[in-house]
Amino acid sequence: MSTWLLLFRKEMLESTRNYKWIWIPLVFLLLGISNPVTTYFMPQILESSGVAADLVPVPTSVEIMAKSLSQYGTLGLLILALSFMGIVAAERQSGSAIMVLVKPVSHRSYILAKWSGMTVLTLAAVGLGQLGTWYYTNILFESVPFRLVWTSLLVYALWLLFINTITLFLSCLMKSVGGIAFISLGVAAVLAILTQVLDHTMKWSPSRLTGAASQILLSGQGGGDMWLAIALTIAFIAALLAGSVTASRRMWTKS
Amino acid sequence: MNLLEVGGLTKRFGANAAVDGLSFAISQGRCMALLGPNGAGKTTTLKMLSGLLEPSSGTIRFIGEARADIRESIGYLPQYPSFFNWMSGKEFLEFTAKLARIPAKEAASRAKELLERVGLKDAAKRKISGYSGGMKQRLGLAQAVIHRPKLLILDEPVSALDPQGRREVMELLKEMKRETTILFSTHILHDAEEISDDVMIMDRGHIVVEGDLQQLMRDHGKPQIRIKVGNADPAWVQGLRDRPFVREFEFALGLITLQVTNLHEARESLFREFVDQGLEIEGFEMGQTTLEDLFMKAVQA
Amino acid sequence: MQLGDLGLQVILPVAIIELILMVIALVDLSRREKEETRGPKLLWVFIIILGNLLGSVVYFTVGRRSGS
Repeated sequence: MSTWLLLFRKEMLESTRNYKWIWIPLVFLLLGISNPVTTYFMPQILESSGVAADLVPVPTSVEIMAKSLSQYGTLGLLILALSFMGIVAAERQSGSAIMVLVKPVSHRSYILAKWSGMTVLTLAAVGLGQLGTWYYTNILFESVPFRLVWTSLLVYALWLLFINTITLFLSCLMKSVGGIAFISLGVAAVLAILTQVLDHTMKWSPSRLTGAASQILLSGQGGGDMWLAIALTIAFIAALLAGSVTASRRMWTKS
Repeated sequence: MNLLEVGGLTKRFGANAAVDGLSFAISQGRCMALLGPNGAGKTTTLKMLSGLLEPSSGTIRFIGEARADIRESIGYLPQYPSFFNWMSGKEFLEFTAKLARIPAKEAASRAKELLERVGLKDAAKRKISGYSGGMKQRLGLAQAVIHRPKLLILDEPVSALDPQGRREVMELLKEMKRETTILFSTHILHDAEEISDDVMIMDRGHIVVEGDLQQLMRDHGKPQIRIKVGNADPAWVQGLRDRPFVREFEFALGLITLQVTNLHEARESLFREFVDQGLEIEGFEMGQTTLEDLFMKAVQA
Repeated sequence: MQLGDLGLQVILPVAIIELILMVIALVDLSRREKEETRGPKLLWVFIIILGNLLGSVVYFTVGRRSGS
């Protein structure tokens, strides 16, 4: 069995034993369905607070789904960063990583197994959340074509994976786990703001993917610059992974 | 035959050299103790030999090993081993066996065999988080030898253990000594004297003394006399320095330690003086300097 | 505020998921040694039960010491 697969299975087993495989998908599911549910009850909530319900326009199904996606970008991202901040740093700190790296294991397999573990878990979580949103939107409002559901999800998930990779990279580089989460989220926030402010010059920005995903739901098309952003985000992820492997190796062999 | 040859091994952290130009060899089938006070560079040396740390300069050569990754031929136990506490002892050993490229089936049988050998058979299915310090150390030993390494490197394997745990680990080491070459570090001389064939004493990044333990003891085992005197006249005590048979003189806490050229001559001469001077001798001991004396001397030099 | 039949069907799964999360958090907490949580275990029991979803999430993300 290849070392990568062995380490990947260890990651999977670990996140099963510490319940990450249960709680993270369930929280994303709640994030996903909270928006259709509150929208459904909105007329009653408004009525009981004395506002005429027909003053507030009822959003369309695709609008509801687009808003759900943005939940993953805020609370979802916070949860992912907090869950993965110690993925490398904590093992290095406790010394358990020595037990792996003293065997004939390359830093590349070690880091790629970590990244794959994060990726599979993240995709499962947003996937479950999106399915929940879709299901609720369909039974409470008009139905949405499934093609829009999964394409928008993939585009949005790529943004989350990009931030995950930053968290992994920082985890190879830094000691303080709090700092790792803080900087990861900071990068996400700064990128989002810069992309909005410098709309014309930041067409390549990974944070464009969030807008593109909403566009897919609202208009069926991600917009002209989407593929540029997708290609560059994938390139960034690859570069960050290479950086993580180098950082991990340096951290061990130089100090 | 040499198993490992090290030449000019150096590790610098910034301007400071933790290990400075170490050259030595380990012979196949021997057990070598790496001695030295804290901060001597023992851990840094062992980490470089294990492939965990990159030397700033120098060479580490495994004789007769064509493998690209020296970690395949080395078993390593860190000073403070830390495990994946959510695994059971059995799971952990099987995991490390597979990491060392042992096929799954063999990994399972090898893990079982070793768990029994290190006395963890009954605890095999329990979570490591519930293990005691001694149990963890024994599990650490098991993972170090799981792939039958050519060289077993242990960093202070017994220093953190209570007397019973220490005994258990020492017994295991004696057994493993028969199967593989061992290099272990310690700051406790007694451990080195108990199981090692060779010793290497390090201080501040340098080798101070190195060689066959028995040979070193013979070479450095100088005749020695210790005297405890109740009513010692300071002038007489200091005057002992100048006796022709005294090579080295030390006086501390009322105890006189003399290294002498000839035990018999020294004894006769001293006994005569005791009587003539009417000294109250509380203790008189003749013997040889020990490894401890050598160690203390080497480290202080 | 009246909940219709559909309303109940909508709310029930949300409540069940929150309950599952709470139970898992408590099970995880009960299996941990004292030194494997940040802060006293009893405090976490209160946070998880009274804090609903947020309490459980906070426990999962920062309440547990890693490496175990």
